[in-house]
Amino acid sequence: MNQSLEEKKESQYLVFDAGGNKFCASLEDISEVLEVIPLRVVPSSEPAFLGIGSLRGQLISVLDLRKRFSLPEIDSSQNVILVVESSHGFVGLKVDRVLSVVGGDAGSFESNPNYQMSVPVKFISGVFCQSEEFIPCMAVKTMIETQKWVHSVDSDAA
Amino acid sequence: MSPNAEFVATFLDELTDTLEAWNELLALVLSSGVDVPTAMKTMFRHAHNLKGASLSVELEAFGGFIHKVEDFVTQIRDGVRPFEKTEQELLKEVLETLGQWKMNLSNDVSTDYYPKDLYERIAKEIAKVESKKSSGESSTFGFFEDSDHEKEESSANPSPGATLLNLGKSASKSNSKDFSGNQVAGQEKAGQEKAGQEKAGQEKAGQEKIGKSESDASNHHQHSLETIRVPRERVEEILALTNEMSYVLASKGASLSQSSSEVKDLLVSVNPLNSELQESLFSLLLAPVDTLFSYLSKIALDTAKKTGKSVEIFMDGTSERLDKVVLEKIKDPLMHIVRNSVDHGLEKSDTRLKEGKSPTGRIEISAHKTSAGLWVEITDDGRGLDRDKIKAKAIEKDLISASAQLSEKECYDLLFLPGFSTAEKVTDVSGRGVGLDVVRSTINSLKGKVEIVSEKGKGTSFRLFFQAKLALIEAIQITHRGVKYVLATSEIKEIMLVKKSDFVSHPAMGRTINFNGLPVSVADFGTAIGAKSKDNSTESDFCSVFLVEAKGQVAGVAVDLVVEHKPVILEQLPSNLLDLPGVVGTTRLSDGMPAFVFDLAEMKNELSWTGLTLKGKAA
Repeated sequence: MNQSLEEKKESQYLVFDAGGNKFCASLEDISEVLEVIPLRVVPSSEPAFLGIGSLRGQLISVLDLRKRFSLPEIDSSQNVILVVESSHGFVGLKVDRVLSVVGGDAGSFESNPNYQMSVPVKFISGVFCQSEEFIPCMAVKTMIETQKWVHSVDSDAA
Repeated sequence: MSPNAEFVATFLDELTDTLEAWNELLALVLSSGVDVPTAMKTMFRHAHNLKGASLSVELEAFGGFIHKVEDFVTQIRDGVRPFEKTEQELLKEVLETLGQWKMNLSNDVSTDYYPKDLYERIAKEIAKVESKKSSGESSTFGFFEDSDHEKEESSANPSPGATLLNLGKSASKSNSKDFSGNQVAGQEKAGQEKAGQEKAGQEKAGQEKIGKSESDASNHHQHSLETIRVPRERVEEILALTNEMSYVLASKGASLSQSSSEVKDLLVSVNPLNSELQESLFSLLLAPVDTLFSYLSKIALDTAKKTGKSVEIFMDGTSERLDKVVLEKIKDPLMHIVRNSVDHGLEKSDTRLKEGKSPTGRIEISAHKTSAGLWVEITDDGRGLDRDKIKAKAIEKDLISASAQLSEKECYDLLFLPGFSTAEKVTDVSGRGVGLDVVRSTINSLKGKVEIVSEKGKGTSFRLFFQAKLALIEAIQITHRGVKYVLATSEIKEIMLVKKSDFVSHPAMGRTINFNGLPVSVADFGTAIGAKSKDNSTESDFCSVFLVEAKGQVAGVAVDLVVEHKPVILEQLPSNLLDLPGVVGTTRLSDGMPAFVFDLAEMKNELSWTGLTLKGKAA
């Protein structure tokens, strides 16, 4: 399970809380962090798909990362949206709050984890390990590309 | 001197266009869509322009090569050379070689790539015909000449025409005849008037120069229109600016309620101008679908011939226009669909007769423009898709579980999955799976969508939709259950304020209103679009009913409140939102947030449509 502890990644990670749990994401994946913006609801969308908003005139689809992984939604004024550029244009991920940026020599990165948890393992690209703390790293791009956004209305209903 | 990279880039653009045109032309000629002389005339013109362009950017080697190609094409055009396998193969090779050359040039403008072998083979071919020809004629340069012009010239002005033949040797511009011919005539006349005894060599040199520059001029005359080449991005940049301008005008205009009427008048006159500017800029990027459609119909006829079927092609909407880049990219997917429709969709004549159909199959290729973009539809009247067989295949391939309940759409969607039918020929499922995943990914990458409508025994229709890149559409903003939406007005027949108690409910028809003596079913907008209805508190006694008409059928939609009627800028949907029923795009409202724009006419399955014959589907 931990053979690849020595495999250090130089890149940096943004640490955030989602549903009261610490996660991180590669800084390369996050283009910016936004305050919560007003959103227009999307009809017949998946529950975690909060709606669409405008990011400097560009459309952004916002998902609630907590809802997405059935984590408790802790709503506060500290809530932020992590912005990811994807094949669907801008996608925002709503999280509890942003904590810090870690990386470099502060710890090590272990890839290929295989834990059983509520966040499916395919969305966890590794674990950032620093002193006494282990922070799972979310593969946000993979998650976005495989996300289901809207229900197709059953056209057979007759 | 090494060629200027910037100039060469422009030249390469032209080369790209020419190669595309030649590829298409060659395909058309081979499928007898165009007669050989016409095609060769076009090819000749292209080659000639390309030669001029290459020389002007100092690509002499290229110019020399294309000159040989030009001569070769001329021989075919003039009928002194047949258009048979040798010629076809050679031209195909030329296309490939030019493609290679283009790649090399785009990597390095001073590349020393040169297809010496091909050049020599072409030269040899030309020489063969030339030697045959020259045995019957005195002029060695006869084959350079455009015979039509030559005839005109020689009958009108025999002696200068003859002079020119000799001059043509060094200028070797074969279509420069009219101009240089007249020029020569004029010069000789002037010479005679002056009675000057100019030295022959001097005169010759002068005329050669004139011949060259005049031939450039004659190029322009041939096109009769002056054209400039502008990189596409430049046009897009300007378009983006006009888009921003529209938004500023719309949002600032909305907050001008207290301004003077003069300011408002100004806005009223600027708005339409800006829309016009946008439209004409955008039209620069568009081309009509007719060339593509006739190409597709050739493919259909070819496929029919190969599979021993008889087919009739019907085309509609050929003058509709689509983004040039999109047109080029959808060629292969559409070709694929057309082939499939003929090969697997249509039955053979005897089977069709047994089914009580006309022995000749029917393929319809049509384009239909809507507020949000263009639909391209390929329809056959063949055997249709067998949903049970598709499902069985998907279960066998482990794509779905055996107990899966699939809607019609979900079932056809299976056909687009990679690997649905890569293994064997699934002609019994009508074999549509082959490569349809590629079709879908191409269409998706263009922010378009593709759907299938099929009825067993009646036929199958592939419907492809391409979003307009930018559109200004007439629209009505509404609120329903506390959410703002925008409805495109193009298909809306009427808006009525209806007291809810006036609705008539019947178990067989649902909620209806009486519209001109017709019971039109009225759906709740929120239910139709699948919105989760949380907020029912805003129920008032009245609602607004939109009557929509599409394909001779009417449907009603009830919304809470109509806010305002004004044009909006339709923006493209990102790929994750393409499947929302009825949604054709988004627009920014004055609250700064985007809102969905619906075209109610697109909601075929979500609304209950009533035809004049009352055969509409009951919900």
